[in-house]
Amino acid sequence: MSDNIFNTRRRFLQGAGLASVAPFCPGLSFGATSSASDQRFVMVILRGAMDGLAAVQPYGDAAYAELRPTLAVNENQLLKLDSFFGLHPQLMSLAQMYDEGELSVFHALATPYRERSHFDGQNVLETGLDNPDLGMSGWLNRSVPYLLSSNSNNGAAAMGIGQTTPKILDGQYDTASWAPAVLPEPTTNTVNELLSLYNQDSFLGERFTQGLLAKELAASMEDTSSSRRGRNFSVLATAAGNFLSQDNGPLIAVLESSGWDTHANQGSQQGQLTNQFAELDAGMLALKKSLGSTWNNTMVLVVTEFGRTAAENGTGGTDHGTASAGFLMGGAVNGGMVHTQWPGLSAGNLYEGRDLTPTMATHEVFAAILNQHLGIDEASIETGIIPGFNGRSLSL
Amino acid sequence: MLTIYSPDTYIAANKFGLGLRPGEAAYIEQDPRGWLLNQLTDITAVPARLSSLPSSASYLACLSEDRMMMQGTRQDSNAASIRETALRESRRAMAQDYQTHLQLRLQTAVETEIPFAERLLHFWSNHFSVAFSGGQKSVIRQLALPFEQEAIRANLDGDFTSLLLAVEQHPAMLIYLDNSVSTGPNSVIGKRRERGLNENLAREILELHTLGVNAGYNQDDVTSLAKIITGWTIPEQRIMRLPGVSVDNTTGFTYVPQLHEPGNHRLLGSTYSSRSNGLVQGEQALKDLSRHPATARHIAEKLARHFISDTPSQSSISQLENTFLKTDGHLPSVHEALITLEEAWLPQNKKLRTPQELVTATARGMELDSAINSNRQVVGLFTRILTSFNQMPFTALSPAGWEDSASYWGSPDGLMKRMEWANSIANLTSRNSDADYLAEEILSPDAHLQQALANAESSHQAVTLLLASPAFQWRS
Repeated sequence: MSDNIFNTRRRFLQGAGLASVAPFCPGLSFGATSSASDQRFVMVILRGAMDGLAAVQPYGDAAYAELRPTLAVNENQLLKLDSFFGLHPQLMSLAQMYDEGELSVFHALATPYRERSHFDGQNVLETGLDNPDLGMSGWLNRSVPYLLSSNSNNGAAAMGIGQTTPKILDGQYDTASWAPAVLPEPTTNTVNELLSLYNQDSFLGERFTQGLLAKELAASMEDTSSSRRGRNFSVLATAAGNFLSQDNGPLIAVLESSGWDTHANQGSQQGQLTNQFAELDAGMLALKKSLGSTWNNTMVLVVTEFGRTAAENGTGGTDHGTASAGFLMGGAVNGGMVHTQWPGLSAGNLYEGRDLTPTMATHEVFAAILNQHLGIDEASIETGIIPGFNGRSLSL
Repeated sequence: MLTIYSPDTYIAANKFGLGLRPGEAAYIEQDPRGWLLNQLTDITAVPARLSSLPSSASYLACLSEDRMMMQGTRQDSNAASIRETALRESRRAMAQDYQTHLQLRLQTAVETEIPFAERLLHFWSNHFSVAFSGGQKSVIRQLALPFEQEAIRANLDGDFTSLLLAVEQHPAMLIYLDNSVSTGPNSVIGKRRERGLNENLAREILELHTLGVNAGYNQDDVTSLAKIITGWTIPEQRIMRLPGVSVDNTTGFTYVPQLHEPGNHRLLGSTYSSRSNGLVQGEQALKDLSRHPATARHIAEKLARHFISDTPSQSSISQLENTFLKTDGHLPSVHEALITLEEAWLPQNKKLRTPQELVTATARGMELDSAINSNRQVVGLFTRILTSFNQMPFTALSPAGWEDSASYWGSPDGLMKRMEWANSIANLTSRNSDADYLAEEILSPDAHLQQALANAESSHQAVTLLLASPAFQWRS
């Protein structure tokens, strides 16, 4: 692999990623009807800067244990990917997916952003641009016209799982959102009255309609767990899988997870970060389960705005850094490999003397997914969605 | 229509304030701008509901006692079970106090007769957001409301410098952004125990609280500010006996010279001398940051976005910025400048109510005062809706606080939640409510809504339509 010059190995070669195609359902459709409509994509945003060096530990780099005397997990307890990298012990489901050739790791991965503000970092991650001050629309929102059919009465092609609209979905094209209901709903008659009131509101009108469509679809889903109360990550991940596996469901779902900003006492095998890993791992397994056979044509990307300092700080945590790690999983992934050009952790190799140096581009991963998985042509990606990136340097 | 109030009345009460209560408009109508201006006089007065709120220092003292009890039992044969009980009791107290505090905060917002002042408090509280989580940060459950009073409300009649100092020297903020565990590597304690710097608070002071992101500071400035404010911490038994330690009796803010990184430190080109003690060194640095032109710009932008629209004009921002610079950040002057911004009074410039604002406006508009005071079910309803929106007070997911834009809060699912909320409130109140009258009293006239209310099949449906209508979602 051109992008895999480091010593990593692939455990399995997955069989053909082209799984069975769900029967096309005519009539009112929630999602797209383009030629790529059997492909599904889930974007998982880890907010707060996940410590990529704790998630995928470079135990083969001699400098690692020195930089992290209390945080590095003992080599024997890591879930080894190869002779150099090992997953944190809590990432058991991810390790299994790796073994089964359904998960790839990207390491030393970063967006073009080189400062250390969460909010600007997330901005760059979600706008797909190289500068937090440019433009406001999210790159998944800009992808929508390439996915949608011409029927404007349809539900949106992309859906946020949660109560608010993440920036990655924000923009001129309609997107959907959904979260479990917690209070009793009004009667159909009242809802219809409200619909006509909302039609008068230029900003809220279409959003209200999308809300109703998502509710309708959720009600038709067989798995009742999607309407379970709560905001537990696994509950939302299950709902995402249920939506995407509906014939008339959306093509793209966005999940968010927060709590990754581990400045103090982040812990090695217990503590805040360990809990975060456990929640992520359980969520990804729940997503896989609820997708059912749709998993076979799904890619799930898990990324964060930036990484954390290579060395632990004075309070048993890590401060804002630069490169981190990311995960790509799903039946459509040709996995079982670590994509990286390992920059090394010795003092001279660290970015600004403190952070893992980026060698892989998050934006290139976005572009590769849009092209290789969702079938959007390189030129459109390069000019309109992720400016300057086409994904050609990666093979997913 | 029986009554028609001027657009200014609705804007004063709904956009600058927390939402009209029935009967209020006629009074405000006499002089909407004057009504707002007068509220700035009483802005630091402690609301009756909060007059007996315990201080942060007393909460921290309780925590310290609990910890001692847990440690003191180590040798005991029943140690484990005693420790566990103490820990459980401590957690239970925190959760209970948090519920009480939520109710007090809501009651205050619903009952206040100076809602513009209360909105300003909420604005600054969001600018200086704190949130609780597990472990050591769970005590923020108890400290957040006292923090809002001690650090923020008490300083809204002074300058931004005093506000900033009070916030950064408050245990709630020091715990939330980890400064309470930061240690100067070359300090007396730092050299002895292998502890070191934590730059979390320093970075957010520069990025969020003062200058704003990309305002010309770099990583060295962040590290330097982190060193400058080492020693700013919370009262903990083992450090209290050290010589030179000072404690604020109200907030519990503690300065420990033995944690402070010695030496001169450079920040944004200025040197902060080690000749002054470490406390003064930090105070001087924060004072300079508070008066920096980038800070004036940053604060002006946030205020304009909150009080005008999601996209305020540059000229309005400049007016606020100039007032801030001319008066050295005198907050009453800056707040008064908001009232004089013509752009804020244009009816087309609307802000979408956040979920917290929505439930407050609902309670005010529907006069739910006594239900909130006495009905647990009603309080539970508020908790459920805010939880479903992820906007329970003091739980913002990032130190930047809650988002302040319509595109964020007006998501498709968010609108569904608002509809369910309206329906639930109608379940409680519709028998005694006259929706037509309420619409006139609390919302600027909306022909479509009036028509829908006139056609409503029941008073239950009418109340649902009123509270779920687009008109009620906007601050306008």
